[in-house]
Amino acid sequence: MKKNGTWITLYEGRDTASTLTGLKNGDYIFRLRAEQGEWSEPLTVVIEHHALWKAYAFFAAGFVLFLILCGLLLRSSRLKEVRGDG
Amino acid sequence: MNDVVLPVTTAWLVIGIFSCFWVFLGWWLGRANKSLDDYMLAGRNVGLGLAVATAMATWVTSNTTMTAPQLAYQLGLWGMVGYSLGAVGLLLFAPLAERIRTLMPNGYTSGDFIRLRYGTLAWRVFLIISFFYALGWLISLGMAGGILITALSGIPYVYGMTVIVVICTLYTAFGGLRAVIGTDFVQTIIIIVGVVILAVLVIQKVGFEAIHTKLASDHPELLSFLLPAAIMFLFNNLFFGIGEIFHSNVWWSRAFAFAPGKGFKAYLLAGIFWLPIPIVAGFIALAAPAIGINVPSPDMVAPLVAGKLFGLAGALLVFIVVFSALASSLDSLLAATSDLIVKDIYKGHLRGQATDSELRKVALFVIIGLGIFTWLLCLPRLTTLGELLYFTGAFVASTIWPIVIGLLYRRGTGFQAALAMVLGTTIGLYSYFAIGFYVAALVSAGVSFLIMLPAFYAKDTFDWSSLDESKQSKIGNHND
Repeated sequence: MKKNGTWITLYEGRDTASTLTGLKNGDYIFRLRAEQGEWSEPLTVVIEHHALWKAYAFFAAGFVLFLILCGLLLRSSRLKEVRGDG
Repeated sequence: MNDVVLPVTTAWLVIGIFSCFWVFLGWWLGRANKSLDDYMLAGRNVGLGLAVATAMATWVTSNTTMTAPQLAYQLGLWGMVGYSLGAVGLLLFAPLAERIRTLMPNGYTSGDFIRLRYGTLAWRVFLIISFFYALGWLISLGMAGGILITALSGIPYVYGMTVIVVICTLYTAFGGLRAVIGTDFVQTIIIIVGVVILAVLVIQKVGFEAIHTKLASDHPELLSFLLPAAIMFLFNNLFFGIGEIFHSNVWWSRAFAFAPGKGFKAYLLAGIFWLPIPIVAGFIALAAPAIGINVPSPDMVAPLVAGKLFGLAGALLVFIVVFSALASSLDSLLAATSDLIVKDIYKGHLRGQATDSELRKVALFVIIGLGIFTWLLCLPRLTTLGELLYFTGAFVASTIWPIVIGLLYRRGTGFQAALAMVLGTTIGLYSYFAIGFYVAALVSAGVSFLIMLPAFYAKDTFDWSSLDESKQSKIGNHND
């Protein structure tokens, strides 16, 4: 992978797959080669995370639903008599 | 993954020892079974210790031990915390378990409740959701067993998968729920001790500072609390877990099986004990970059770290922990799904006059048949089937509000409940494809809530006593 203009080695070994996670938004350039072989053409991978506002919207919706659910269940824990309540 | 850490003979030896032990324990515990209640619900008298252990062990699945590290590796700190929110499902089910036991002292399945509370239409929609979920979970467990054994020892997938499915089917068929709960107790101890040992060893060998430094430099977003996908995932995973527990007969059958007054404490304690397991398991994954290992597939990150750090001993420990976690969930799911088939399909749809002794025999064949069916579906090792479980988030989360409102209020119609489940599932699945797996359950729960909302303003119409079939004259009651 190219980092700050320099190629760095991410993996050397017999595996034929690799999972990269936790990268920031941006363009990342990778290349690979077989042992003693030629380097492949560089491959550019674009990382673009979801917009934060979208994430907050889902978070807020989930939080509200969760509060409602907890409220209902708390109410139920106060119900002593199960017949004819609600 | 090309390198295997566990020699084949050692792996077979461990599998052989554990298999013999589980089957013997299942047979031994099952000797006390006399009636249908004994076989399906362990005599409805399970004490607190066993109740806590079975709830916790069943919730620690291959997903907790394999997927929690995967999510930590993919979504970072929020992934780790988010997965542990699966405990909320157990905690919130605690008051409902108590109420279920009181409202339905003679109930058998979650299907019983939906049928009696909402009628036939909602019951059938619910059964489709339940079976789809159960099948997805069964297949993912069977496949995970095969994949784990292959990854660590090189034993072919089909052999590993066959062993785990056959063993669990055998002891569940021999001993019913009593065997499932008894083996869960032993499996709980193995899981807790194993995961704690692994985490302590990782901290000792790698150290917090090395892990943090490497993550900050090469995987900075894993340390960020503002990773968008992880923020979305947080409540999605929470509602997925709640949906799984609130609807699945695995948890309802335990609510019926626990002795009166034990359900609340059992689920509460199980949730508290379960909470740290995914955090500890997830932490192991965050050590992967620091020790410089390649991760070909993120769901194998935990065994890879253990194998790399501790060699044979680490691989053996992971093997035993995950094998126990798989067995404790697979047996529970076999038993609970067989209950649904026996009570809701066989008796509910085909032979309403079936006696208890007939149902007892049918249950045995259903468990064996379900085991064979699971084995057949696991055979092709379709990796997409493993992802089936993510789909099921949209299905199960749609059942949360119909169940909660149905248990707490005398309002809400069967049509409304059926519509909430159908629309919740449909729109949840749409969001799965349009946005990502990390929102499907949340969207489904939201849509289902909106459909059920008018129920809060409706009149009280339901009579709680109709949930207790022993008090009903002949209606759907042929237990003699």
